[in-house]
Amino acid sequence: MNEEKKDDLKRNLNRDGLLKFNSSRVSPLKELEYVQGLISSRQAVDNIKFDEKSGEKSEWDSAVLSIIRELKGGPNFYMNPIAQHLKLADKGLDLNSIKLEDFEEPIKDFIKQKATIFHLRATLMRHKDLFLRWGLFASQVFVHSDIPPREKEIIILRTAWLSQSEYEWEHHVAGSKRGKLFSDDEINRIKQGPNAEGWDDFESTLVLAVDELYSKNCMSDSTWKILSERFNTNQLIEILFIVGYYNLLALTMNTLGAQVESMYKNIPK
Amino acid sequence: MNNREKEKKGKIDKDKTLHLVKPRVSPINEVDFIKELYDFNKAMDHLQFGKQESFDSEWESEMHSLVQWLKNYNESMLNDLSSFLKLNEKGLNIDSINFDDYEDSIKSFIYEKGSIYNIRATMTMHRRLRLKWILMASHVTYDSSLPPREKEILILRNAWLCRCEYEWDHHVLVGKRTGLSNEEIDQIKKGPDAQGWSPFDMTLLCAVDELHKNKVISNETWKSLSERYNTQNLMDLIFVVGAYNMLAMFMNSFGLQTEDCVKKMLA
Repeated sequence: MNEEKKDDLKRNLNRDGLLKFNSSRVSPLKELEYVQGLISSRQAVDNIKFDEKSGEKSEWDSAVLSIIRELKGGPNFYMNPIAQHLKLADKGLDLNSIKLEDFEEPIKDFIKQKATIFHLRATLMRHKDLFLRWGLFASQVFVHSDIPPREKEIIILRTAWLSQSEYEWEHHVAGSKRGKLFSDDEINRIKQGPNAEGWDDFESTLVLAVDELYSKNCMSDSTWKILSERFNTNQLIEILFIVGYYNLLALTMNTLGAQVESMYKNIPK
Repeated sequence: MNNREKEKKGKIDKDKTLHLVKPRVSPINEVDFIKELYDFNKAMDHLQFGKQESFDSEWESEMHSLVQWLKNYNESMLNDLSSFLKLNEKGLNIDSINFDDYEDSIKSFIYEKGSIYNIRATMTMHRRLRLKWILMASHVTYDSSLPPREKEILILRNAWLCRCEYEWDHHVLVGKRTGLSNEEIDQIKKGPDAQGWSPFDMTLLCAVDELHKNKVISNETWKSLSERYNTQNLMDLIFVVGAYNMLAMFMNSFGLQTEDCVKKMLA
């Protein structure tokens, strides 16, 4: 281990930069193992049956249905682009019917260029039970949240910054750029914190909420009051779970030493 | 002297855990809570996993256990309620009664047995998040690959560093069941430098402290952990600290109050 990395791992939090690692402590699965995992997990979901015609529907019924849809849709979301890249449909094939080894090169090629959050997913997939249950929780926080996208990304980016997670920061900066959520100035402002010039009162309070949770694990009365003027109880619950979840993810990515995928490194900051 | 230094000297007592005197958002009432449990359980009746044994892949068996977990989740609490209300003796069952008619008995049931009522009855306001949290918790809390005593050391140290009274109180009870002594629980407050820890217990406490302070586990600690733990164990360690930190933010900010029945058990 070189000295620089040792220092990186040992240094305390400072606000000047993000923790960077030259190599991972737990490596991601190999490309073919990962794709095989997607295929097998998708096939396993077909055993789940839900009786949709079962009388009166409660909100719990719809919550279960949405879980089943995600268990099916999740692997598809990651598999379909691979199948397209391999042009399987043109040949009358699909991922279930081919021998992955025969397509090793194009699969590796696809993953290098396009696979979304590959290092995170292929690392956590080493622990299947955790991977499945984590994935469902993550989608609640990230995809199905009741908090508007701009507010949500402010919370996530501030959390990533305070946790010094390079992986989380780079991915969410890239995502916010695709969604045209922030200007470069605003992204800089997130680094500077709640007192930076230019925030409106509500956004500054959102950043402050993250800072309070980060330093005291609790929101102050005044922050709570301002947030509850605009957010309902569900949204307040979500803020806590968003900060908590992205903190958890930062601890994981930092400690396992997940590398930012090379395709994200070419995105101009 | 900052809090961390004071704590090292053992000067911060349990009285100094962060504690709002009343909740910022009240939990739903007892009868509504039981109705939620009942509806939840009904919804899970509509859920089945095609195979019960001889699975084709590990993914199938994981998926099967996920489904079984949901189906069983509220079953035992509803069974307990059923016996508490002596429904059997009256020729009744949980499907045939109107919960509103049993308001007083349900309140006493929750008062006596509802040891994690406040968190469940608060989080259940957000049903979809609640459902997914149950799944995540099912891994972190119940199906975790970590030995129970070691897991409770991690949870208690996290609760202490987060100053989360609700988490601390509940896990003191769990910790005792997994074999932690009163002295050990007291030492967890003081951290890795306290007297008497075995080298590995001390390493576990260091890991939590480092995750809190630096957001990463140091090379030295990682190396000691890896001598005993495999990759799954190591991932579960990070997840248990992160997940209980997340819960502590929620419990502290909503001002969850420790239930009377839990206080009684602690006394």
